[in-house]
Parts: sequence; structure tokens; C-alpha cells
Amino acid sequence: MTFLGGILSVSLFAQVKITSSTFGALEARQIGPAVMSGRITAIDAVNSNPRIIFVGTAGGGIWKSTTGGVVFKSIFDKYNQSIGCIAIDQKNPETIWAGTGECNMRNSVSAGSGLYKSTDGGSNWKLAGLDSTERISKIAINPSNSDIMYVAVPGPLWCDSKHRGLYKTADGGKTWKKIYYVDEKTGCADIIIDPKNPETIYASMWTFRRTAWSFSSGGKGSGLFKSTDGGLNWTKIQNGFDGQELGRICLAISPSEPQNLYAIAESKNTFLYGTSDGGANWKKKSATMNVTWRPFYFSVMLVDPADPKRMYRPGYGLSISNDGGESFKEASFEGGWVHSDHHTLWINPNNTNHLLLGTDGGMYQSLDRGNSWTLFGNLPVSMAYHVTYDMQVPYQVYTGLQDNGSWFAPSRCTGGISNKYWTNCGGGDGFWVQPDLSDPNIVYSESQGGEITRFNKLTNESKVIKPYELPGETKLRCNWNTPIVASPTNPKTFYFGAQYLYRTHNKGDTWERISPDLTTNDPKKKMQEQSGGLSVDNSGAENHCTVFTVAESPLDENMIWAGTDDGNLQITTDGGKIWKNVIKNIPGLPANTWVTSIDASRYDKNTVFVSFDAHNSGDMKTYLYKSTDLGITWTSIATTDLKGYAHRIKQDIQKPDLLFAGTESGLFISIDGGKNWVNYNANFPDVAVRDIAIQPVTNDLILATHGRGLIILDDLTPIRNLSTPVLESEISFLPTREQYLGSISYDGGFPGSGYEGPNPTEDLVILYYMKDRLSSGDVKIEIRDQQGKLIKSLPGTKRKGINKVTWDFRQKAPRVVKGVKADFSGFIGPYVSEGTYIVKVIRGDKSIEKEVTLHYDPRSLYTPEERKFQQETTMKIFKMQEDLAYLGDKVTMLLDSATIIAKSNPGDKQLETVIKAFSDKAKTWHSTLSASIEGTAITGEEKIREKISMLYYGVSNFGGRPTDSQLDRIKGLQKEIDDASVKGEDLLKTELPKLNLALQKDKVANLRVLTREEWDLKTKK
Amino acid sequence: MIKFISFTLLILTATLAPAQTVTEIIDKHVKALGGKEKLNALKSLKMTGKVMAQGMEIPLILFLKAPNSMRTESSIQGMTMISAYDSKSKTGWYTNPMSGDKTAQKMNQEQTTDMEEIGDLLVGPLTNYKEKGATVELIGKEDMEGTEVFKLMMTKKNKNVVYYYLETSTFLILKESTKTKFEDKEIESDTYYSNFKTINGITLACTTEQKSGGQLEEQTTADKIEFDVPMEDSLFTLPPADTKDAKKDDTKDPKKDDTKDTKKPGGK
Repeated sequence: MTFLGGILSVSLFAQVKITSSTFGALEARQIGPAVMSGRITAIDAVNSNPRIIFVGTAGGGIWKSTTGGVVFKSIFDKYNQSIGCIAIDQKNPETIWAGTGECNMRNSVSAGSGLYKSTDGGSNWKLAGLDSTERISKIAINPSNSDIMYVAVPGPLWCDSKHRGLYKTADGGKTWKKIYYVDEKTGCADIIIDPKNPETIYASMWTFRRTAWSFSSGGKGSGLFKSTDGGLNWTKIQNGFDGQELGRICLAISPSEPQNLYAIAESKNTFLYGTSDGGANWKKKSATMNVTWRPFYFSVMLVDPADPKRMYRPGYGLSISNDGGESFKEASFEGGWVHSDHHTLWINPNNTNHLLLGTDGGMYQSLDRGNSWTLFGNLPVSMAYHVTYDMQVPYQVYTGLQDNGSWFAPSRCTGGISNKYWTNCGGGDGFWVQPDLSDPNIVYSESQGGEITRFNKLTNESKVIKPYELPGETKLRCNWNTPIVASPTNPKTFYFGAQYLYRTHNKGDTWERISPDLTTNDPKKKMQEQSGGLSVDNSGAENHCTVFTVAESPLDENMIWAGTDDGNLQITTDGGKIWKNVIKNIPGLPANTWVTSIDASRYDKNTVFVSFDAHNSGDMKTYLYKSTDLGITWTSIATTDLKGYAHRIKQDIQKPDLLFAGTESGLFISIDGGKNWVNYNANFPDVAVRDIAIQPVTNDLILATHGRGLIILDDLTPIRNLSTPVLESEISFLPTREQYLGSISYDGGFPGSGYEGPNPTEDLVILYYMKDRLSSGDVKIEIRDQQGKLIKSLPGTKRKGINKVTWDFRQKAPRVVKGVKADFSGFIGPYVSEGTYIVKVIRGDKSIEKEVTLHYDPRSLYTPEERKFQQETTMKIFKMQEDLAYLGDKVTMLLDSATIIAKSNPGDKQLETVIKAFSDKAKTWHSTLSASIEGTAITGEEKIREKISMLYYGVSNFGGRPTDSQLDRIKGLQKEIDDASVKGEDLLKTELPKLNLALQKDKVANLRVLTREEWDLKTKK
Repeated sequence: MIKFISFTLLILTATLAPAQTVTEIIDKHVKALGGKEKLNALKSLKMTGKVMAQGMEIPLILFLKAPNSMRTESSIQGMTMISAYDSKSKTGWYTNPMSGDKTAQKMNQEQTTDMEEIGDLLVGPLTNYKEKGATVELIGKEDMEGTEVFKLMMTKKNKNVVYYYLETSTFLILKESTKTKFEDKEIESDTYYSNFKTINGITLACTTEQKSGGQLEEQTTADKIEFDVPMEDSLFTLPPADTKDAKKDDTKDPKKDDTKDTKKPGGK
């Protein structure tokens, strides 16, 4: 039975809840960018086969290559994407350990969820403990007994914790013991095992803490320690240090001479120390800027396994010493730029010329000990803060990346969104990038601390347009990630937030201040010049008491919301004259909680959604609120379904109850206004979602992720239509956006370099929802024209939730006459023409169907008449190919039948002779129809079939009018078919009667040629 | 590389004891396939069906003969492509007349990795795993496309790893993930099983699917399945090098030939 209208309902009990798997078939597109990649935090490779590489990233999970980096696959999508460290058990290299929670303790660093273990080379992972540690910096495996491991846990960045310290397992990770612990403020930063005497271990402890407005590195708990009994007893080993209070200490050991160690010990005067007696005595070594700079951020140093004097210090750049740290040179980077800010280095122990370097901008390889480098452009782990779009077709996406500037690219490109399509429009750290929708050449972007510029796409000029404080005003405070926000009501209006809010109507040439200081202006939170602890570090990352988020009501340009990083939520209803702080009205929200996003409803101007983030006081909860009375009263719309601190809340632009939340742990969707949330994970890792945009023409959901660049979920239409009747139905169609019949675009298929972000499908998307998985029987899709003729059959999936099948608008390919090789026209069906078609989904013995009306792309260059003519011409050639197939089959099928009869009458020599004579003549005749020279050589042989094929390809593959030559060719080929047909008939006339005469003797019925109808039936595909 | 069909068990019981061991799960699975004895007594299987891929529908015949011989025939544009493995000589071979080459070519070592276990398609991959030197571990329960499954990890004698996802309510294998290592390459592939039917007391999946990006790339459906059809060994052996046309299973029935005139000879 078939249900028109597309919903097959059954009786219902309880309301069906959506789950993550409901959306499983609606996979997102990870479009990159990878041209600048992102922060790499950990690298390890298999010593015995260094083509197997594992790369850990700051926010984009773990990537594995088995090809020395030619191909990378992400292998950790289901888990925490912030990676602190990776260690391969080199004795059993299928065992991989991953410590989550990056330990380069910058402001934007994420938190981990424990230690993970894989025993199958990274395909599957299991949590192996330490799940409350938040940050794991290093895993040291006893080289002679893999069951013994030490794990350094600096621990939480924003609050006290008892989970810090040095951990040990003696049973391969089944149980863990904390073997060194100082206090709740001090964690273990580094751990080293003496490779020749693995009971000897060295550990550095580190006292550190961040607040939203400051960082403190160093304290009484910091220090350097040694144990010679596997961690039972410890001795402080700082003899030779200058006695000052210590911060982060980074360690290196010479694998070939392990009594030689090095330590960069942060203090008011950070030094590099060396020891040649296993730490009993230390001596100061060279202290170039790069060696000692930013010890909280650069915490790696390595000694060449083959050369005890050669040291590598990844820092802002890469410093190399050939004399055991007495002097350093900078790596030369011949042949190209290497991104600054180096966090990890791998040295191939069996070929120490071979290095892999992890930076803020991707992973590089050197094959000459650091003289020259190449970037792996295939790791799309860029760390986006925000995303915007424009209204071009295809629309462009704009984003700013952590330490990697500002960029834009088309959301769809010929062959895929490869690295070459990304355009850089601003440097430094990138955050907001706003296209000017009133001027397609203009893009606004910024670098850290509000350094806003106006970029011209035509000229590549960049103009600084930052507002400055006026005489008498206090110095402007701009957040690390300063808001540049476009007005939804006037494309010429933009906002810029410092502690004040600014507005421009003339591309930033004039800024109007439209608010007083909107922040708490707390003096204690404005001492960034003293931030950093032992090493002052005031990069702008700790700037505080600033406006962080701005939203103008889409319904009223005078209604503007502003949220601050120090927890004020302000609103004006008169364009900025009077501001009101409504933060105190929000129940259950801790004081001074960072306002991360405001979404002013487009359905009701009194309705607003706000997300808050309290993680910088150690509170990882998700805070999402809604007000429908302009902020007087608030309701929490956060549920226990949510995970991770919130960055963004967004209401859909067509369906008010459809909400999207981006948190540090992923993307969440609610279809009921926030009562229930589900984690979206279809080709979407648990990556931090920093921003959410919806392109109104394509209805694409565009996500800025902090570790996987931009991700697009194409077409929200089906999700908007997940109504209760649909969810409770056995099977229902879900609508999609209109997909035009395309013109066929050329894609040469030459390989690009690096990552290639996938395009959206250009096929017709058929979506159906099923309440339950189909356990017996199949799902089939049929597409018919209005006369009921079957155009195409497609197999369907049978999962619980939304199922997706695509149709490339092609009909069945023509039947082709047999030849010695396959003919390509037999694989290519012609496109259908504009019109209405019936799509039927058959599920077991039931089905649903709906009509789909297809249109040509309105931007097509060809008139409907030209289209129609092209279509008719294609079908004419299609028919010629099938006519030829029938012509050939008429004879060959007849002979096949005769041969079978002959086989069952083995004694009939006369029959055999007749058939042989007939066959020989037929073969000669058939060789005029299709290529007949056997073998795999490129014979260039062109018979009627091959000629029709070429013509068919040429005409069917271009959406406009065929050329006159093509039209003339049809006439010529038709004549060839006609001539062959006459010869075929002659052949039958002479040979068939002889054959039937011979058959009569065996009392077998006469043979005759198949009629066209019979042939159609027999060869029906 | 060839996964046209798999055997799994039909619904036995919907209620499960809270914690089941690998052995219990596999026992229930095998029992419901038809039972170890019955499965191991199977001599052969012939499946007639089709492959739907890239918008095409390709007729397919699969021959399986115990212990580990296999042959598939698929036809495109009137040409028959054969892919076969002969367990006696441990030789895999294929023909690809579409390219103009009608001679049989030997499969390379990569293509024949795991072919010596092709008989799993007949008896089920978990039925005789111990005898084959494999080990199986229960990873746990997880969600597979909205359905609760047991995830089992099998480590084969050659160290290749296969994951099986068995529906917890039915013990059917719904999905199989393989990671095959050859030289330095790791080839991963997922196969989905559905459309289960019981034929002669043996339960099997009549549809197998390969997916990419959540969408079907290839679907193979069995229209007809026959057990213990006699099969000559020559079906599976590599044809001699000078043979132009590889052996064909000639199943054409002259009685059904529709080119025959229905009128009596000499009629009118």
C-alpha cells in the first residue's frame, strides 16, 4: 500500500525523542582550511616504521598517517579533541596512549577528559583513567617494561585540584597511583625516564594558575626532582640553580649519554641549565631569547639521540645547539617560511636528520636536521573563532583563526574547497571577519586586541580603522577576541566593542561611541602589565573588562544588546542613549560570568537567548538562558543533555523552536525550544564550537570550530521539519531545499595539493525518516515520470532516524551493442528534463510517495528552448545507440539460441555447419557495428557504436544547444545505422531459412528474430 | 574484499542477561545461524542477485564451495566478469573482459589476503574462529545508527583485526569493520548486513552494503539462494593461460528461449 503525502503513520504511545543518531545520515562537511593548519601539540612515530605517524592537535583531535604524512586520517573523533601528549609503546607499536588536555597553557586552551589507550593502532580507544585531570602533558613508558608508565599531570588551569601530580602504573594502565604530589596548585609539568636505567626518573613540578584576566606561572611548589627507585623516594635536584622561585621547568635527556640532562627553569631570570652527573650538579648554559622565552607556552627541548651535544629547543623559533647548550643558532628555514610558536618535535631515532616539528600553524618535516622544511597541508585543524558569510553564489565563508590570521573562501569550488581557494585578508591572531554586504569588495577583520582593518579584495589594500580613545577618555580595552558585528537591519552599519560600544556607518572611517563603559571596570582585573607570574606575558590574551559580544535586534535597530567578559549584560532600546544592565535578573548564574553570545530573536523583539561561560573559574557547566521580556525574567534552557562550557547560542532563522548551541564539547541541537538537546555528531567530532551562522539562501548551518576549521551542515530544511507526526511515523519524507538541475561543469581532476574540503552534493537529495531500523526486507527508491514510467531505481538505507539517498538526475544508461570492450556510453545515463517526477520509497511491503518538481538553475545561461532542444537531441542519440543494440542483438541472440539447440543435438553435423556459416557471416557484419579487434591495446578502432558514443558524450554533457556539426553528425550516423540494418536484414533473409530448415530435421521449432518489444523485455535493466 | 553475503542469526530472544560473556554471545549467535553442526555440514551455496552501484544494476552470481572456494560472475554489456578463489591451489584470479582482455589474471597477494577464510561467508565468521586461531574480545555495547549492538573484536591468526557489531536484541551481525594490513598499507572498510532471511534453517543477510559519508555506495541483494548445489571444482580453478574465454557456468535453459517461434514447424 502506498501513502500519498509522504507520511505513513502508526498508532502511538509515547512521544519519540530525537537522539544523535536521528541525524546520523546528515553528515557535515569539514571544509578546512588546512592551508595554515593549526596548533600541533604532540607528535610520535613508530621507530621501526616512521611512516606511521600520530599527530595530536590543540583542538582537532588525533590524526594518523601510515604513509609518512602523504595521507592523514582523523582517528579520535568520538573523544576529547584537545591533546596534551601521545606516546607509542615502541615495543608493541599497535598500542598508543593519548593524554587529553593541551598543556600549552594559553588563554584559549581547552580541557581534557583523561588518558586513552588504543591497542589496535588507533582505530579504537578506551578511557584508561585519570579522567579528572583536565590536562596531561607527558607519558613516559619504561623502555624495558611497557606495563610501567609515568604520566605527568599539570592538571586544571583555572582552579585548585587534587588530581594533579605524577602518576604511575605498573599494570599497563589498569590501575594508577599518584606517586608525587605537592599541593592543589602544583602539578607535574615534565617527566623523563633514564633510558638506560629506567628506575631513574626526573620530574618537574609546577605551580600555575589562570584567571580570565591574568596568568601566574611559578610558586613555592615548583621544583625539579629525581627518583632512583621508580618513584618511591624523591630528591630535589637544584644544586647550581640560582635559588630563585621557580616556574615551569622543561627537561631533556641525552638518550645516548643519559647522565647528561638539560633543564630550562623559569624564574625571574629564566636559564638553561645542564648537568653531566644525572642532576647532582647543574651549570648555567646559554640563554638566548628563544631558549628562555615564554616558558609557559614553550615546554619542549630534545637532545639528538645520536649526538649528545646536539640540542633542539622549539620555541618562538627553533634553536639548535651543537655544543651541549653552550651556544645556539636558529634553524635556517631555507626555502620557505615556517610558522612561529613551536610546541613539539620528533626526531627519528634511526635517522636523526629527519625531524617533525609541531607549530601553531601545522606540522613541518625536515630531512636535513632543520635546514629546510615542508608543511603538511593536509591537516585541517585550524582553530576558528567566528564565522560569517556573504550573499554571493556560491556564498563565501569568512573566519579568523588562532595565530593564523583572517581568511575567506567559497563554500563550494570546482573539484572541492582545496587550500588554493582560501584567501588571507589579515594577519596575527584572527577572530571576527565581516564581509560588507553593501560592498562586495570590502572585508573587515582584526588581529588580537581589536586591531581592526578594512581589506579591499580588488586591490589587496588594508586600512587600519581602529577607533581610539578621545582626550579625557580612559585607554581603550579590547578583548583578545574583540567583537566586530554587522547590523542585521542595515548592511552599512557595524559595531565594535572595547569597554565602550562603537558604531560606524561609513566603513570604519568614522566611529561613534554609543555607550559608557559597559563593564565592571574592576581595577583588580586590569593589571595585565603584571600578568604572567615569574615571566611577564602581556600579549593581549588576558585583556579584561571588555565588551565581548554584541547583538542588534533584527526587528529594531535601536535595540542593542552587549555582553561583557566580566559578566555584564547590557541593553539599550534607544540606540545607545540609555543602557541597562540586566545580569542580576538571571537566576542560577554565578556572578561575573563571561557573556559569550547573545542571539536577539527575529520573531519577537523582546526575546533573547544568551550563552555564558564560567570555565575560567573552573566551572565547566553549560549556561544557556532565554528571556521573553527584554531581560526582566530569564529561564535556563540548559539541560543535562548538554556538555561543555557554552560559546554560542543561536535560534534558527525559520523555525523559532529550533535552537543550536556551540560548546567546548561540540554542537547541540534542540527542536523544542531548549527542553531537550542532542549532540550532533554526524562526521562532526566533539570539537569546540565557537560560533554558529545560518546562510539564509542555502539554509546551511556554518560552524566555526576551534580545531577543525569551518564545518558546514548543508540545508537545515529537514531538521526544521522534524515535527511530532513525522517523528512518530513509521516512515515519512522530509523536505529539502530545492536542488536545481545543473549544467554540467568541467572538473579536470588534476590533483591539488593538501586538504580538499568536500562540496555539497549537486544531486537531488531524498530524505526519509524511519522510526525504527528495518530488520527484514529492503528499502528501495523509485523515480518515475508523470506517466508512471520508471526512470531510475536506487537502493535505500534502512537506519533508524533520517535516511539519505541521492539521485544524480540521470536516467538509465542506453543499452549498447556488444563489442570486444565495454562502451562508456553504456555507463552514462542522460539527465532528465525539467518537470514533475514521482519519488517513491518502498519499505518492505509498504511505501510512501511524493511529487518533486525539478527546475533548471535560474542562473543557467541557456534558454528553456535551448535546454529542451539539447535534451531532445540527447535522447535522439540515446535512441540511436539502443537501435544499434537491438540490431546487433537480433542476430546474435538468434545465433545464441541456435548454438544451444545444437549442443542438445550433438550428432547433427549439418546443423553445426549451417550455424558455423551463419556465424561467420554475422561476425563480419557485426564488426561494422562495434569495435572488433581483440586485446587491450589502444586500437583507436571506431565503428558505429563508438562514433555514437562520442557524439552522445558531447551532446549530453553540455546543457545548451548542440553545435551544427553535432546535428549533422546525427544524420550521418543514422545513415550508417540504416545501411547496417539493411545488410543485417539481407543476412537474415539468406541465412535464417537455411537454419530453420536444418532445425526442422531435429524437430525443433523455427527460430525467428526477437521483436523490439520482446528484446526490450529481455534486456530491460 | 568480497563480502557479498554474511550469515547471522535471526531473532532468538529479546531479553538478555545483564552481562554476557563473549562465549555466550557467540554461542547464541551461532546457534541461531542454524547451529554449528548444520553450518559446518553445508557444502555449497549459490546466490543469484544484483549489485547496485553508481546508478547501475549489475547481475551477480556467487558460488561458494566449502571449505574456501569462491567464484562470482557479474555481467555488464553482455560481458561476464569473473572473480574466483580456489582453495586447493590457494589461487585467486579474475577476468575483466570490459577492458578488452579476456584472459584470466592472477590476483595479487593483497587481493588474496584473507581469501583462505572466504568460507566464512558460508558458515559465518564467528562459527569456527577458535579452530582458525583467532581470538575474540567483547569491547562493549554501543550505538550503531540508533540500534544497540555488541561490539566484538576479532584478532585473526595473521593479526588482522575485524570488528563485528551484533544487534543486542537479535544477535545478528549488522556491521563488520575490517582493517587489513598489507605491506605498509592499512585498508579499512565497513560492511553492513540486513534483510535477514531463514532458508533451510540457515539464517543469512540477503543484503550487504558499503557506505561512504552515511550514504550507500554499493548494495548487493540476493534474489535467490540455494544450498548444496553441486559445483565442479573447475569452476574455481585458474583457467590455463592459453584459454581465451574463462569457463562459464552455462545455465541457459533452451526450453525458455524466447527466440524460438511459438508456431509449429512448417505451420501456416
